[in-house]
Amino acid sequence: MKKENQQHDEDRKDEDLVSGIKIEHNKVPKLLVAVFYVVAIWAIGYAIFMPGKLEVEPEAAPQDNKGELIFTGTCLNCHATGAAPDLKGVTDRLKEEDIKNVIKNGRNTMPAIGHLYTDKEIDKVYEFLEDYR
Amino acid sequence: MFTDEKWSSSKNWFIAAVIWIIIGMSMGLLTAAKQIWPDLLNNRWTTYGHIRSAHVMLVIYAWLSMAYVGSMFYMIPKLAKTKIYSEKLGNFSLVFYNIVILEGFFALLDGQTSVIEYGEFPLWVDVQLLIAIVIVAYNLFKTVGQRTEKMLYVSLWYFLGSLLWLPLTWIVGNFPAQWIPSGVQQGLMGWFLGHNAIGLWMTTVGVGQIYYLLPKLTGRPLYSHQLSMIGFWAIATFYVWNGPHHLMNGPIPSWISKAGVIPSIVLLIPVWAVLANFWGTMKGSWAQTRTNVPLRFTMAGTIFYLFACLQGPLQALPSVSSVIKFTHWTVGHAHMGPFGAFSFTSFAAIYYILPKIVGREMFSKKAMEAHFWFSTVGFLVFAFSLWIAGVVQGFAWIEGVPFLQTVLMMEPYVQGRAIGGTMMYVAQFFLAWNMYKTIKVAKQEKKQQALHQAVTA
Repeated sequence: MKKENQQHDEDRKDEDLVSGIKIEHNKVPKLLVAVFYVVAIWAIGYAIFMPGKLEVEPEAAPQDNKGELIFTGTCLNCHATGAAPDLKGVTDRLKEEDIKNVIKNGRNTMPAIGHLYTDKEIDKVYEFLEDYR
Repeated sequence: MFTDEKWSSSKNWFIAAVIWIIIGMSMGLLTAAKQIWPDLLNNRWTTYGHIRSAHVMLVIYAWLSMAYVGSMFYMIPKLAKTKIYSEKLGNFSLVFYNIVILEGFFALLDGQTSVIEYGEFPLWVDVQLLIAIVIVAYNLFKTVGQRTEKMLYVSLWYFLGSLLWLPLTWIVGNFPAQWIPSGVQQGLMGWFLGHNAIGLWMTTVGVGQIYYLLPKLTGRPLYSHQLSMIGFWAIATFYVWNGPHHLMNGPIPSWISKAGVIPSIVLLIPVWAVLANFWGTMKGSWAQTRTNVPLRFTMAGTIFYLFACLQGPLQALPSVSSVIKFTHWTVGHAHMGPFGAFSFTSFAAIYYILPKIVGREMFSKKAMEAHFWFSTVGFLVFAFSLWIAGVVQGFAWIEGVPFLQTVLMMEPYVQGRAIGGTMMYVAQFFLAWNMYKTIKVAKQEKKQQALHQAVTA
């Protein structure tokens, strides 16, 4: 009985009264302390070892089908619809220089698109046209 | 001109807040409806961009902030065991604040914006809003200054901290960001405001409210002084660093990126400390939530707070962010803190404080129940639609599904969101009606009492 009272008194000592609200002094739960430590260790590890961003792989080998991509993405918008002549076997009908010149500077109703591509890309388009028949 | 009546400023801030939640959420509902019928109300004033930013600014700076100020005008004098420094100034600041919000609202509808999320008002409104906030803060600091209770209760730490942090983040986010013309720096400063408006104003005042309400509503002592210390100082230390995680995987230096990720995860410490404290206090009182609606609102708020703060840190990780960024998920997450957690605690604060001010309990308990269930179920429908949508959308983008197809895939989820949103919106009418009735009936009762006294005397 006496012991119980003592216990009770000790509990009471552990209470503050602020603005009419009682505040106990319970210990921080052990699980929570463990979580705090894990988070702290993780934070230090992340700061030291991680890049902080997703690592983006450098672009794979230069695209081998660039010529085809430009051809289907740009040329065929007109040359497959009947709005402009069919390009099958065009390399037999025109010289390499002339074809590249038409791509760069346009002809009749075809607009100049040279400013959109590098010389290398236009070479690729020509290479593709050689096999397009 | 402005009344000096005791508790009048607290009551009036609450009334204004509830009017604004109806206006602000109707903007949100219109936004959701426009995702279903894109041509709905498509005119100069109410295009999608205008309405969406008006919704965000109104629910945060009009509804939630006014509800916060309303509860602080009651809780702070109670905790300081004094009366408010100046009720007149409180009522003046309310009128001024509302004029500024109206200006900002029309500026946004007019198409003026500073393009900073959570800080969309143009500069001329920002300056005035800052003045209004400072007047409120001055009044409340003066109140604490004349306190008769020597110790400061936990809620007061949070309130006073928030009243300092809000103007500071407002200044950093709004002013230099509009003068610095370049992209990344501007984005970082904008997100300093964007995330700290959430973390050092919405969260901290909301947590302060719960610290006040819990012991009062349950009649139980606060669980642990030590946990409140850990929670307060950890959030005050780490929260400011959270802004950069909004630009994750973007063109920011990787050290800034890391400086944003780490504190985001470290936030688990204050969040769990605070929640352990709340739930420790609740031990043995959970059954009360069956009948006590304000307490149920508070506890539902703490649960949503936990879930918001499990999502948040994970979303800050670069790998998770790469899937859910720019998807509907973010919208679901962004509603959980401001609506699920802290609007709920503000509802609880209104239901606890208003009866004490008018001297009569809330008019209808059924309306309170309806308010709770429509809000909760509506929010869950709303949020889960968006979360599922976000994950589907994120992975579809990674798979390279054509964009238009991913838009069509979202149809059922966008509809689900609108249905949930409608329920959340309807819920607020129960609150507004209940408040109106309570205040009106209380006035009548007082009149009758006075009459009765006059007759018997």
